[in-house]
Amino acid sequence: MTIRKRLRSLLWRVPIEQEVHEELAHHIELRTRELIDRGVDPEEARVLARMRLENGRVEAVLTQLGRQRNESWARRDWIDELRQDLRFAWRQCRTRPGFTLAAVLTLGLGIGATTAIFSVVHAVVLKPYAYADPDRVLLAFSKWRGQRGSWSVGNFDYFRQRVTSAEDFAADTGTSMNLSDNGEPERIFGGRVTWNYHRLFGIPPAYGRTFRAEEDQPGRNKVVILSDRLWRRRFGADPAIVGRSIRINNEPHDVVGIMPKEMDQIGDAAEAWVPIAFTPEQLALYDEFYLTAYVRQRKDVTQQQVRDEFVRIAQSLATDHPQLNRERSADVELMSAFFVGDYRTRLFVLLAAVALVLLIACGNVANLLLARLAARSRELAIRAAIGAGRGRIVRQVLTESLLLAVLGGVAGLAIAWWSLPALIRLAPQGVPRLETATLSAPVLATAMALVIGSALFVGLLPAWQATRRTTLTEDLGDGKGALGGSLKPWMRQLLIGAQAAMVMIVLAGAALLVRSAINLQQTPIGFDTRGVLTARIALPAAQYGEPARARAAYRQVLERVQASPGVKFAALDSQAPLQGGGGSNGLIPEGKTEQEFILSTSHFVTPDYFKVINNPLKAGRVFTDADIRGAEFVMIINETLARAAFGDANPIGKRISCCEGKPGQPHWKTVVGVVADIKTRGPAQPATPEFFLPLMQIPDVAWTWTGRSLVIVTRGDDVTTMTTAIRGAVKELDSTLPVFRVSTMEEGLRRIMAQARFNTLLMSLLASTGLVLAALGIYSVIAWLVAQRTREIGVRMALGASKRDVIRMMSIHGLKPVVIGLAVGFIGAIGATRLLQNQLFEVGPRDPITLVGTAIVLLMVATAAAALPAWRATTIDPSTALRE
Amino acid sequence: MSRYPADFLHGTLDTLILKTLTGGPMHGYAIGRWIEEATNCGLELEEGSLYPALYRMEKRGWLDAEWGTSELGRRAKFYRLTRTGRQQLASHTAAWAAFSAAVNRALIKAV
Repeated sequence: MTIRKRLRSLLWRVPIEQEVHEELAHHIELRTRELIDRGVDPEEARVLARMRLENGRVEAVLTQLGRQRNESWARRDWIDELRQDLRFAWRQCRTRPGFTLAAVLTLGLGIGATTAIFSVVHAVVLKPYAYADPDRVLLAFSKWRGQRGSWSVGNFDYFRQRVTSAEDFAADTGTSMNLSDNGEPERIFGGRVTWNYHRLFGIPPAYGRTFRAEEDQPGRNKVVILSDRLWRRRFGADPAIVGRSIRINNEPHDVVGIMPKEMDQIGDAAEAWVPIAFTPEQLALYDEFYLTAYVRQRKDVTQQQVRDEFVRIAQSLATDHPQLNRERSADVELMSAFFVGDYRTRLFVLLAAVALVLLIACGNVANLLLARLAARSRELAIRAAIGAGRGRIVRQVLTESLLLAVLGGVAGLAIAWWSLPALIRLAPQGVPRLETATLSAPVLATAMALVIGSALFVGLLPAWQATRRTTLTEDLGDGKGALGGSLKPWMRQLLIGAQAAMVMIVLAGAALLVRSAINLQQTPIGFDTRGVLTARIALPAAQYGEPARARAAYRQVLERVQASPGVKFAALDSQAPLQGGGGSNGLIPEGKTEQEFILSTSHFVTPDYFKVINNPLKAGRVFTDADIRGAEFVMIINETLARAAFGDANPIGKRISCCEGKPGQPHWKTVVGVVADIKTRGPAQPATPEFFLPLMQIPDVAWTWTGRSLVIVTRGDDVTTMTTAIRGAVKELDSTLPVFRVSTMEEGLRRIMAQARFNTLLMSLLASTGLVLAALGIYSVIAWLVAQRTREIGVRMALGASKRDVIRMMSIHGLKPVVIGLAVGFIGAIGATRLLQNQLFEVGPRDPITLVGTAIVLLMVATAAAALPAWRATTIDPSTALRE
Repeated sequence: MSRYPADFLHGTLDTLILKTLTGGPMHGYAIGRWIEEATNCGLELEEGSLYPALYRMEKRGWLDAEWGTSELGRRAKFYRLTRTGRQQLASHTAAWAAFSAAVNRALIKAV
């Protein structure tokens, strides 16, 4: 092998043309001589010998073959060298297991974290959508005073009849359904949809069919399509269920189709769909806004053309039905963009942060490699001296960093594979498509790119360093001197400076999020969440459609619960705080015009409600059992609504029209009490106008609005006892009724805070990892600087320098790049934290206290990391140091 | 060795070259001469066949070449057998023996 190599390199010095020419010339010479020996005339012999080379054809063929030969050798040599380099790098790794482990784990953590976060970003933001041509599927909004909202049936139908730029215009509304055959009654979340809903998304059913137009009519709508999830969970993935009948809300429905699981990723994740089948009365209703509308735009129109058409139709609607639509307009937005919305920024911020941490990790490994290279400067000098080319040495160093990066990549994939499920579990609910995050092919490709990128990043500085030619004597002269001779400190200082800058940015972001979280935690929500349990039930229309029956049923359940041991207070509410959902109404205070209505959240409650959640009464009285239909119509409002309706005037005794009556015929209710504002949507959301009506006084139609579904709210000491009490009371009323969404108020609060907590947790984890890595980097660089100057320190101390002087000298030397890095990072942080804006609560993205505080903390950590090795230097006995 | 590649006969030149070089390094002209003599001039070896064969075998690693000084006192390319080349020769020889035996059997068989 080695002989062949040497020969080859000798031959290589001759260009192939010359090699061939010389070889053939020699051949002709010998042939000519032979012919002359045989008696041929010398002149003729020469001609004859030449003729055998076929006019240069042989020379041309050989030149061609020789070229191929050289190329093949070059390839083989390259592979040989790579193998050699890999063997060498592997030996290097094995001889220093501590170094290797540190480097591989550091890179592994960085690559693993980045891969895990990227797989989430890919699943939520980047991955193509499951439905056909996602670029043509839009959400349509009904806009009121510039705010996007839902559609009323009348408005939707008005648009449906006129829209021309859409291939399909569909609507759905989320609804809960009682599924009550096949064992345990179950409450599921379903969708009531127009018949073309599934067709609009272009996802064909897995079995059966989607709805037909004629099924979208009252009386013919007892059909259902199942989602993949429900089909697997409840029907054992049996395709034969198609064509059978199941009971929904106690009425038989024919299963006509089963959607594939791609459908689960769309919209609100319904588990089953039934046709919405608007009645003629509903079609004439323009003032209840609860439909979500979807558009599949025609191939030959732009989104702007669709928007323009919607605005035009909204204008004609405002003319035809001015009462409720005078201030309405319409708008469309790409559905994918809408759902990903805020998460896009959040996730990319997270990805940027994790990438910064990966860079910090790479910086550390580069640092380690530089130190290793310094120790090998003698070997490198010898290599160069015996003829290793510059490129050869660079390749060898890069091979080593590539090997480390590949090992780190393997470790990283293991970390990502292990942490991804945990990440998904920890994440707040409602992140679209999050559960589809896997280590898919694009993610693996990215991980591979990360490996190569880190290898280059880690190896480039050391490789460049290695090519710096120094004289052999300088490197061989003296073990200690060699270190200083071939490796300038600025490179490592640059690295720790860059690390300081990056960690400053990540840490500042994390600090802002932590401050927001603390602010959130400390913001009072205005009522007492401890010991409060909520549970929802819904009465099916089939038996409880008559409001009197619903009223009686709820009265019975409430009385049973109130009488149960362990329940201090119990009440009913149409919409409990912190549980989401609910409806709102336009309220018109007496003396204001119908256009000046105040949109307020509605609560239909029983008298003890305010006692259960401890909502303080500010003025007037709470409801009593005497507030029933037939008595004076009363209402309790919160402070925000009181201010909005009556300014500073005393609201007690004033009248507000709402919920009943027709335009021009107000239905007055007298305000009898004002309760304190509470943060019903969590501490981050400001209080909004809310009003309360006595449950037993609401109009019959309101029972339909709520779907006869109410929340039982109880206060007591023990959650289990209260749960048992509620379940018992409901079972006693009707054993087929499911109790669902059983949750404590504390859980509700935690759910609402989950998003903020999750982001804060991840950012803090990333920032602390970055901080530790950067501290390690600073420590190792100072330790190295100290080791280099041990003799000098010895001299200084022998000449009377105090320990303090030495520590100060060494730390300042090491901290200078850190301080510069911090300054750069500070400016970077000011720019970068803007991206966090909408995740912050009561703290600005450039909050000076946070930014300066972060810088100070960083500086302190850096100082500690620098002072430790500097202090150790002072413990050296001067005489020992001098003798070294 | 029961199957014969299509270029089996073509490969015989390679085998002969390998055989020639078992005597030690030689330049191209000497190889040609030796083959001509050894086969009793039965084969007229053309430069257009000999040299391409040498280059191909060099590329495959059966032969190594180095510059040396020829009997003329001039720089000449000398070829030598590599270990791979020796292995090739052994297997080619065995294959040739089997092949010629098979042909012989067919030729002496009564029709």
